[in-house]
Amino acid sequence: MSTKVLICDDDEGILEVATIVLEQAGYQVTSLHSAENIVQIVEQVQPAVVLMDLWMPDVSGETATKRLKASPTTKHIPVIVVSANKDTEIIAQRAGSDGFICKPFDITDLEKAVAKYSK
Amino acid sequence: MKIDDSFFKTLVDKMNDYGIFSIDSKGIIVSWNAGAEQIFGYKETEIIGKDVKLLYTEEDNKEHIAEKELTIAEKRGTAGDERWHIRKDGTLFWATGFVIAMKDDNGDVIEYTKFVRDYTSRKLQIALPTNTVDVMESISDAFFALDKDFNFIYMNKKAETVLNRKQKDLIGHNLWEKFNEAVGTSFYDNFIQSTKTGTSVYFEDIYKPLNKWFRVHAYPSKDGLAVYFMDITKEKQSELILQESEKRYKNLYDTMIQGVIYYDSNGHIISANPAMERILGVSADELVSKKKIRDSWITVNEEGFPFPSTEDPIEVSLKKGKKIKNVVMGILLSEDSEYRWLKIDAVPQFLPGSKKPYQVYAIFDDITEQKRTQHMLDMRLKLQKAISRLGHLALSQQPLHELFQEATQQLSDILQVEYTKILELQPEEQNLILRAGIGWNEDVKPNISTVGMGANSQAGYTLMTNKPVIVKDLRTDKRFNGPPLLKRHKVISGMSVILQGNDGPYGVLGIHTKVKRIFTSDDVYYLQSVGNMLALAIQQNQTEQELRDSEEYLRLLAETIPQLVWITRPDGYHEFYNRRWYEFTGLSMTESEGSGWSTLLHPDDIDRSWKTWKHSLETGEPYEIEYRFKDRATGEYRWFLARALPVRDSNGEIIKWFGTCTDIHEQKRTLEELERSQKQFSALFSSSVIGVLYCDLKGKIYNANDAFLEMIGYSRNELEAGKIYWDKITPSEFKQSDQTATQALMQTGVAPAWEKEYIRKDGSLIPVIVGAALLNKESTETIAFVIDNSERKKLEARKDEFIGIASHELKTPLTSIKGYTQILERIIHQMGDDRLKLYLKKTNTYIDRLNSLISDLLDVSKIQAGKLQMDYSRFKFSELLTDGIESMQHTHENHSIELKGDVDASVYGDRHRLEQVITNLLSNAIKYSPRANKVTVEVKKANKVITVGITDYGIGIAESEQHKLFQRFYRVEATAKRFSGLGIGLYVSSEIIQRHGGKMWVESTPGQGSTFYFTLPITKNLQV
Repeated sequence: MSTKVLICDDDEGILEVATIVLEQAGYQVTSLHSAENIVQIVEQVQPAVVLMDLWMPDVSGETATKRLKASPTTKHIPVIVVSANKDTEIIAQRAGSDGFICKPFDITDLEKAVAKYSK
Repeated sequence: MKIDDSFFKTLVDKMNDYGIFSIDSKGIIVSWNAGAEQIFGYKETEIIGKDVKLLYTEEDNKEHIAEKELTIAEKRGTAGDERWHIRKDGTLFWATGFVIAMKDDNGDVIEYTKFVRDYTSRKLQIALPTNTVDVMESISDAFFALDKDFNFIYMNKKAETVLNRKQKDLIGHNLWEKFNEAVGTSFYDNFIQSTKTGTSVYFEDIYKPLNKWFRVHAYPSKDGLAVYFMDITKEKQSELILQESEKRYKNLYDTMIQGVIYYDSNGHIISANPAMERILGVSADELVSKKKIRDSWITVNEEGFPFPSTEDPIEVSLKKGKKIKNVVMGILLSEDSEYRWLKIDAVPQFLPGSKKPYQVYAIFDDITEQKRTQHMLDMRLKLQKAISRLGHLALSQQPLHELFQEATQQLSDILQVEYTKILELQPEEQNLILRAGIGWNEDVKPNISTVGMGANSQAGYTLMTNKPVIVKDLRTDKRFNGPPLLKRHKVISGMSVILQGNDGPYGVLGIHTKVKRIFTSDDVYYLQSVGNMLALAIQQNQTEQELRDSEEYLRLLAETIPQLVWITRPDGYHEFYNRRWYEFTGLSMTESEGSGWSTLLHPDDIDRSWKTWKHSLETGEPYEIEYRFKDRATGEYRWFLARALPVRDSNGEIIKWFGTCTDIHEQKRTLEELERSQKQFSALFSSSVIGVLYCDLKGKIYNANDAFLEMIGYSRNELEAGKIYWDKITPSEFKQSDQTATQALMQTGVAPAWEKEYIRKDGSLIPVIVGAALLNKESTETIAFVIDNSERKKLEARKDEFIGIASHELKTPLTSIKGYTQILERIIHQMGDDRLKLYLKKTNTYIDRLNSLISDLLDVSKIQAGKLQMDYSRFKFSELLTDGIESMQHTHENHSIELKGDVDASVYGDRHRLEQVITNLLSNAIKYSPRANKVTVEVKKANKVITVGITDYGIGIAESEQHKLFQRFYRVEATAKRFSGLGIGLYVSSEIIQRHGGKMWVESTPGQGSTFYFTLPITKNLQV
């Protein structure tokens, strides 16, 4: 049973790139366009790691991360925040994230990060 | 008159053998003396009023001799008389004499006085000459006889004596030889004429060699001339003197200041002189018609009682035939006038031989003025004595009632009145109460008995009229209702005056008599004076009481108040200081007295203080000034506020100045500070930018300026209505930060500025920065300054938004591109197509460049927004440098990057950002040296500072441009078109180096190349 990775990003391209890269690397990828109901979905999917875009309409990555970290059922799941602004790393950390990837990223960096947090 | 009186008398005495009588201008006999009675045989009573012609012979009367005599006398003043007169018994006698006319001012004859001597015996002798020597010798006249040739044939002894020659020397000798000086004189002429005409001659003349007057009768005969003569020198002299005296008397009479009135023997007025008219104010005729003064006017004696007839000087003089001197009589010439006082001498006039005066003249001085003066002086003396006595009592501060007792007794004694009283007004009781009195019945008791007010009593009426009230007769006085008290005491006359107290009338002083009494103006004056004096005593008494009260109070007050207190006299002389003064100044009592206080003044304040003080003393205006006094404890000057107010008595007179000096040193200094601060604050408060508000820590807002109200969108009315509370306008998420500020306020009094938001009236939020300071710890009154932060917030938000959008919107697609490209790279790598590999690699390079440009642009935004984040860590600098060079060398193969030097040092910094700097500098070096193939990087360490220099061999930069290189978006003009770029790399690099505590600069030569340097400190803790 392959490791599950959940990716949440409102950008279609990034979702596809990440899915392609990670699936090729052997992960079972679930992609989400929105962070709405994130806790319920993560509970349901039970991924090994969550890749969370920070800048999203409606529910932001920050809020979603907070929710995940606030829920006893999901708080143990590592969350890697992905953001175009390196300066937002601190926001991500405060929200409870475990890792941070800056856009644009090398796909190898993505593979390394997921590998690291999904162990 | 007095002077000539004795002389005149003497004269008359010497003429005792003369009959003297007076005839008026109509020839009627008006006076008749004893001598005349003897000669003529008529008694005075028989002859007075009769015509003088009665005394003349029928023959003479036919020739109007009597009238002629008088006419001559009138013309010449005197006329001789030598003729037969008729006695009462009808017998004739030979009379010699003369008539004197007495004239008035106008030269009109008043009367004639005739002097007559019985010369019958002599007449007979002359008429019937005998040749006998005996006869000749026996006659009293001198006699000599002359022959026809004027030779002496006889002379008697008397002639010897009179002529002072001896018989033997003259007998037989010629008259004109022996008396040759007589030739040519009247003697000669008469003698010659007599012998020639054969008629007797009679003449009087002076014989100058002997200086003698002779009355000569010469009778011619056929034998010669018989000459009778007598020495009449004395008679002549007397006559002349009499004439002279008469003249003088007349003049005197007319011009003397004394009045003269002639009375006949009945005491009726005959005449008076002009002075009388002046003194009594009536004409002489009028006076004559009145006959007697005492019947015409009210006359009084010196004591003021009706003048007794028994003391009338005229009557007495007439009766006793004596001169009466110095009788004082007052005449009330009219009812309105005052008494005219005369001092009268009455002098009786006697006819020769008579012991009964035939007339009296009164000579009088007007002593009214003198008497008035004297009276006034007397009254003054009395008054002064009274006042002195009463004044002494008043000054000795005896009770008023003793003074009153004394005054009423004195009044009773001096004015001779039965009753005196002093009444005090009792306005509340509507009556007057008796305080002292003399003469009243026993049931009238001081301090108990009262009289009514207003028209119900004389006293009440006096208070109403406000001036002395004089009652002539109480029974007929209609001005007030005669009070029972006075009526019961059978009072008829009286006077009363008001006693003035300090605050209106004290009461009334009154005197009353049982008999009708006309009070003189002197009496009124005296009563008023006593009243005034009593009033003075009453006022003084009241004033002294007030004074004692006020002064005691002042001094008591002075000791209880903490200020320096002083009291001065009206002239400014300091006579009292309280204890605080002596403590503060260290001056002794004597040093402080008078003007001693001014020695303590600051030299700069002396003039000003004196001027102000003098002004107050002169005008009575309150004194207020700030000046500096020397503090004895410290020797320093302290500011005082001096104030003084005049203390006045009930008359408004300043009796004291009561002054204080309040130490205002601290207040004054504080005030100055406050003034300055208030000025500053008021500028702040009225500021339209900064909101200012007063509140307490419970959140109640008392006041706020318009700027604040505008921020929160409320009106001033709403503020004043108490509609604005701190809590109400604060969103709940800021309650915590407000609480923190409140705690700071409580602990330190100041709350450092904090950001918060207010809820505006319309519900919107306004971000603000608030600073606050506690003004009063107890009331927790706080002032808060509020700055509208919305613009800044908006700007910040916009910048954040820009950075966010830019990051997201630019980088998101780039991420996808990069992702796809890398996936593609992997696929093509498996396909092994080298050309595709190369293109994809180049694509990747441009993606990185694009990413780098976007990052730089975002960095600029971050720097501008102050949001450039640093991620510090410790790392080996040499590794960073090597990584950076290798990375650049990897993508720029045309240039060889040469590293010189090596540093073994670790730095604490943002490795990523520092690498960004190195990358930027290297890429610039390569970019701007297209014709060169080398870039040199040199690194060294000195004094814990790493210096890196990156040298290219390119176009170089002009010196004028060098310093601008590090500005944002700056691009060197000359090269901008040839080289692409945003002009932000150096700006960002420079910022990053500065954030690490280092510097960046350039050294360059155009056309040869440039070296960019930066430094990094190796210190452990970098300034962040």
